[in-house]
Amino acid sequence: MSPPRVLLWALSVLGLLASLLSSRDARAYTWMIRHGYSGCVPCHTDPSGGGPLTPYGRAQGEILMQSRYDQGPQEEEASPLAGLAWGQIQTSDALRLGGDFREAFFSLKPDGVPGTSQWITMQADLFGDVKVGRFRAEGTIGYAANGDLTAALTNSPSGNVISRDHWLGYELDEDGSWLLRAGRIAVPFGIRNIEHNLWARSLTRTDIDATQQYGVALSVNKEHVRGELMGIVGNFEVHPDDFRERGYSGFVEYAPEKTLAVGASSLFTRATRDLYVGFTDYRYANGAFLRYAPIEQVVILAEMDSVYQSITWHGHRGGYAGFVQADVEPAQGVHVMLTGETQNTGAKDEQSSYGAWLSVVWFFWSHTDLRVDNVYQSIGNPAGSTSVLSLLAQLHVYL
Amino acid sequence: MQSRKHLWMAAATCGMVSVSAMARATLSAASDSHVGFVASGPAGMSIEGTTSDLSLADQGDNVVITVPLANLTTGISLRDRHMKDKYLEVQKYPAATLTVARAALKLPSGGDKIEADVPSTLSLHGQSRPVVVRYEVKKDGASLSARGKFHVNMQDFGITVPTYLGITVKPDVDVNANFRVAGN
Repeated sequence: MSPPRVLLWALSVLGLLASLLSSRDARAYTWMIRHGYSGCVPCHTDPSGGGPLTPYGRAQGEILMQSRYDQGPQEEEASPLAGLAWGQIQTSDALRLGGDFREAFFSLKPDGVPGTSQWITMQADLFGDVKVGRFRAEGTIGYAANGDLTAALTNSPSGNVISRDHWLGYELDEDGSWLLRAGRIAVPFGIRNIEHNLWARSLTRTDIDATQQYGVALSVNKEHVRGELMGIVGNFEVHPDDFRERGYSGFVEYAPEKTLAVGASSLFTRATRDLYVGFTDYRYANGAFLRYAPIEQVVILAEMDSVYQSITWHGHRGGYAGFVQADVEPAQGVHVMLTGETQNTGAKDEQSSYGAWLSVVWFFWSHTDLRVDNVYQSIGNPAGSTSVLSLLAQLHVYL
Repeated sequence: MQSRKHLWMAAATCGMVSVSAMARATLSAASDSHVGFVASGPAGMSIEGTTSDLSLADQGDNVVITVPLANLTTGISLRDRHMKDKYLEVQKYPAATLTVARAALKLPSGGDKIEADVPSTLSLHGQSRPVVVRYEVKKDGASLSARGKFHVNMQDFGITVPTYLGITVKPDVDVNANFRVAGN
């Protein structure tokens, strides 16, 4: 293998490793549409999903998500265990607190190279949301042993204090349907996946891990329509200012039925020096997405995005990324997911990449789930493609 | 010319008799029934409930549609239990009934479809209130296919507004139903 090919291959594998190892903020389950929850507001403080859980959301975590070991669905009230820290901490309704912790075993086996494996702390976050009248304030604080540098409040190569989002907000109506926010906010675009390292999320830079931006966002949640539009002023955790992107991002989703939703997203940013390519970069992304539960046991999620970049000295490149996921819940609390994804960044002579995931998630106890992802990826590059097998097993505990 | 005139009058008379006969037909045996309601919560939250239990009784002057509430479901068992035990109090008030004056109902003849509003009386949770039902009915072979919808405010029927862990359901509810009924 020639030196340039070795370099391309190594960069591909390192990119995969970095994305899989970086902490993930997985507090939004888009497959809850199977229970008629096409919107996120009843359960989450972030109007587009994620953020601290509301008391209602905590109860649904036990009633609808957790495995039941007796007969039949739950008809009793949610137990005290559903509360904050298994009911051990009481707060007023105005204060919603929480925390997410993930420990994982990760194994990576690129084609033709010995595999590696290690234990990693994927997430260690605390968060809170305050509501006083129509005023809102939300923030997260956490620790990242590795990665998440774009959310780091401290300035070390590793072992940083991070804050993924923090914002002030105001509900524009009594119903809470319209929320205006300003601060560091998860970029509204596409499906807010748990799987933050899907190519649709990484190519558009719209995951809920560490791609949050500062800006002003207006969200709306109505019976059949929800959406959010954000004006992006940059990521102030990144220095100097030349690296900060400015622009907009937004989505709109229409739910003609309570178990079917279709949406469209659009994003544009410009950075004087793009954080990833180092040059002035105009980035456009547009896409469509779907969430559908034909029966309660099955949810189909699908998204396809086009991404166009105009990079100084490197010309234009038009690429795409998309996925289709089937989430099957044969018994309450057990999810088997099959995901297929594809990507082509549009770089010169790049071969398209393909990936297949087989995932199992088991919400086996209160506030706790175990997840295993088996991933095969054929990562395209100008020299051909590289096959990589990975295994990620993680224990998630939330307060 | 005189015979044609008599023929035309005879045909018109037969037509009038047939319309009159349909209007007087006894309605019975509702089937293929679906009753649903849509309630809403804050920020776009929507709750849909359904049941397929519906019966129709033609009492001469009135048509009475009865919907037993025991099997009404929203898809979430705990929510169903709250709805039936705490708010609708189904053990005390096991059914909702809609009473429509027969004289106010327009029924189709031939292949026509009738779409109209009809004043009705809804009895729910031990209270009776007037409602206006928007209905559509058309002939479907030997049967009639009917669908209707109306709007209620649950507070008008003494139903406490549901609230659960900070989520309050709005009192306005849209009700819809469709069924087939034999006319004989």
